[in-house]
Amino acid sequence: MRLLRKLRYLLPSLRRAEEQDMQEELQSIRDMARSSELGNLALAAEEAREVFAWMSVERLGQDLRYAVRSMAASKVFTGVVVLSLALGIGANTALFDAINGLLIKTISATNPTMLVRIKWAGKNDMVTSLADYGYNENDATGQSLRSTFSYPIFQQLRAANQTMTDMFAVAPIGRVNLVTNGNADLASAFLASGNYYSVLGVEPQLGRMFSPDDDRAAASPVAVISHGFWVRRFGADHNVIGRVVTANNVSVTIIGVTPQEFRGTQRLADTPPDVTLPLALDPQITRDTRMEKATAWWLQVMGRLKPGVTPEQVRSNLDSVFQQGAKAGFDSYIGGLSAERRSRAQNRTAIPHLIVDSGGRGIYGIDPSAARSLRILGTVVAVMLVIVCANIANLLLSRAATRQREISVRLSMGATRLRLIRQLLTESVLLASLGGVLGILVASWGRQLLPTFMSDAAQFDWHVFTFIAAVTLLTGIAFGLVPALRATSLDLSASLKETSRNLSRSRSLLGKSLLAIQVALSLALLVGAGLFLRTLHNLREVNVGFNVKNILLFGVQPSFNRYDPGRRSALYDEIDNRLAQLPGVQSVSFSDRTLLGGGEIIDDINVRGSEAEPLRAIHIRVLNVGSTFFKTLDLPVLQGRSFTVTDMQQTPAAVVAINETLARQAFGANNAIGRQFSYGDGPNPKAVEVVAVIGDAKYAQVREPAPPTLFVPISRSAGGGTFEVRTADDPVKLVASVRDIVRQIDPNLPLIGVSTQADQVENRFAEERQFAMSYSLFGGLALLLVSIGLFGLMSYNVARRTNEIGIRIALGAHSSDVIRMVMRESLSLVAIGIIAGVGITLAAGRLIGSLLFGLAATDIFTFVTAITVMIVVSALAGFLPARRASRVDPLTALHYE
Amino acid sequence: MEPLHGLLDMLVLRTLVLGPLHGYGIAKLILNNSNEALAIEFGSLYPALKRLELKGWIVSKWETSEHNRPAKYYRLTTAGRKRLRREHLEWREFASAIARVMGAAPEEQK
Repeated sequence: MRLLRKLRYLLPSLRRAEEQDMQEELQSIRDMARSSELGNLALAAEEAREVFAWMSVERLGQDLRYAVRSMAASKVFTGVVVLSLALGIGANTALFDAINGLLIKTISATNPTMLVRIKWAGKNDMVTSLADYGYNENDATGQSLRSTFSYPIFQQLRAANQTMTDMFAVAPIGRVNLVTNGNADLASAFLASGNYYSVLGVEPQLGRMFSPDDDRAAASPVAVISHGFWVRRFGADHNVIGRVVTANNVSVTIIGVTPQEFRGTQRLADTPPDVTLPLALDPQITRDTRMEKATAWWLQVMGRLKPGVTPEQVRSNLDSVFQQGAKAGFDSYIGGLSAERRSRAQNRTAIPHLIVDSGGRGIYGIDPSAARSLRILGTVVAVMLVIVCANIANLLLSRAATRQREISVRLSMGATRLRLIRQLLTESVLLASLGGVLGILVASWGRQLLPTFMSDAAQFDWHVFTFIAAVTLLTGIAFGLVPALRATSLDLSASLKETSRNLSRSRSLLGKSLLAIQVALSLALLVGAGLFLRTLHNLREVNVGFNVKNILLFGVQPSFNRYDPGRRSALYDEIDNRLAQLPGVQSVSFSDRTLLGGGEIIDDINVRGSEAEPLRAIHIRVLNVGSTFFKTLDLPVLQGRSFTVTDMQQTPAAVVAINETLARQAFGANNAIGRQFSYGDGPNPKAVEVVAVIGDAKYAQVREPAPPTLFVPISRSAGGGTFEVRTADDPVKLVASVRDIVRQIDPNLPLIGVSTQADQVENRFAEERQFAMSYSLFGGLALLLVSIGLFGLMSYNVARRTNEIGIRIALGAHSSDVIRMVMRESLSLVAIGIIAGVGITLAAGRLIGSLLFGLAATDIFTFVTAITVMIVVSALAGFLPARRASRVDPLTALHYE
Repeated sequence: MEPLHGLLDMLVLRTLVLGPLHGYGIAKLILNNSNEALAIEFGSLYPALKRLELKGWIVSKWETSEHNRPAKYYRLTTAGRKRLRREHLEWREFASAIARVMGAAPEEQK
């Protein structure tokens, strides 16, 4: 009995209802009888409670058995319901997986809630070189934050720290050229102070993590690699510990592998850096002197709170130390300047202040475009689930109608309404659970359809499990409750005496409203699909200003291999020559980056429109290109001449080319050729002369007009860059030969980002493609569900009216009249849904408006197309029941109950 | 005199053959029909009612009593009727078996 008692407590609402009923009964008995006749009522109640415990378990068993039986009896219904639920719940689960990974979880470290991240806010005049590596969300008051500090400031903060057990500093350094056993490859790399792993509390999967002893200039270089890199690059070989590899030509010894779940401290969903090196190796690996510079801010700082300390206490502990450190750093910097520049620097006084908050979710927040994707996709899948619920509720209503007799009989036999509702709900929740279980499968498959940043983040854990359980239960109740209430609220005698005809009128109204809701929401999804498909089409049709077809792109970074400038020039020449000899290659060029590759160099130039005018600053984009760049990309030289080999040999560059937009903005209608302005780094920028005006080409964004662009001859000793290879045929066919050529020239030189120009442009549209796909997928499914729902509803209505239709036919109605009558009913229903749907869609247009291109969220063509599709499909779904109605045999119909 | 545990169930079922009754009414009717020999406290009767209800032999429903007050009435179900017939048979066999063994009341030896 003890076990059963426990079971009873699982259903507290049930227990309360029974308990109250019992107390009322016992009270009614007390009112009737003398107390001597009653005996020990408290004991009686206690014994009865044990019996109840039995009952609720017993009844749940009965309800389940009953539910399984009725599900098995209508397999098509069950199949449709479970499948649509699996899709609805699965899609929501997949998205929740991603939300969980991106926003909810904490980073993998011991007691991550005690970690704090240290940032700063406010104007900062104390910095001359600032690096930041991700999106800093604004703080609570809306001010924007920065996450990096100089090395001296980090040391001062650490020395003054009294509120944290310790603090560490890290910096991502992009990619390094890693050579193992003679194989060159790029690996993502990260620098961390020696106490990084001990403060986080990360235990090694293999070997040991590095310690402060390894983080000294004199220590022998060591590296810790990630689990993923260990498996990918070393085949999970345990002998990797002690292996010596070279990273950017520095020999380092691998001493440990981090555990699989460790993803670093940057963002929740990051893939961890392949290689993590002690901070002290920075000068050797990056060839940068930033460690000594007091005004170069590049290190991120995190710490672990002492027990009972709040982030605010950390801030008050360190804020003044930070400000003094920043000031001291800047003072030492201007101390080294010439007197003239020092006086100019005197008015730079703004010092920011510290911001300390929880670092449990990593240093960075989720960036706005990712948050927007989550919001849009989240809305789509939630709408989908609502449609699924409305559809199932509708199907259940139709089914409840056919079970009305059974239900009335049971009610008249004394079954309580509560009992029947519970039983019907048991059925819906059981259906929902089946859908939920299948939904887990759908989710694991659907995750692959999500954008990479989301699917990488997705991980099944108890958050996700709770989510599925809650969604399943809620959907079960959502689609089951109204039909259950409706089915059990019968006027008993009426429904026993008559057919269910009278009742069905109001049930039909409810069914119609549910269907109209489905139509409305499906239309919203269809319009969304149309808007994104057209956006994608418009983007692909955009003239980017050059010929993107048949260009192969690949990058090299010989500076990683310690090529000196002279050898680099020779290397580029050799690659150029060898590629030019390759059959099918028409032209080869070189540039520091590619057009529409995602990256940008932004700068300012000061120009005079004419000799008489004052200097004016123009915001420009810059591309450093080789002499054959314009020819290779088919970028038209509108005026002047293309770059020559001689132009390339002048360092710094003496000539430049500008695009049309820049020519117009800088010089208006005046001739641009031969004009000069100063351009370049350093205290004394050199004057450059414009030798060409180039046709406008998109620079980084397809959506935006070509920005003012400056083309500068690239130095042949550049540390690295990208080759563009114009081919006669499909460029992908040449990839293998190109790899061979570069390997023959230097086996230690990895190719970076082998791609085609066309793919690179297409990659600009990844987000739009994602939305187009999701909207189309779910819009199509919603349309399918609407047709099933409409078919079910109309079939039911026709069956209900068989009698009436029979009379009409007997009185001489043609079958076409009957078809028209039924079709009118279903299409007027769809029309109401469409009107509501247009309203909803217009209201929701703001959500996606900024993502559209070449059309507005109110695009009439898209609306008309979506509405037409909706009408055609629903006409088909409504036609089958209409045809059946037209074939009613009047004699049978008149006898029809 | 208190009837044995299983016997109480049987008595309740038998009493309800006559028509729906509330709990107190059942106890009273048993008392009357046994010429006041079987005085069953409601406290003992109540768990039995719940047990029978659980087994589906009786069902209960709130109705208005003879005193115009709400009371819970118990009614025999078809399954309950069947059960009663079986118990009745068993009881008759049992009772006659006991009667045969016991025979007439023996004279006391002097």
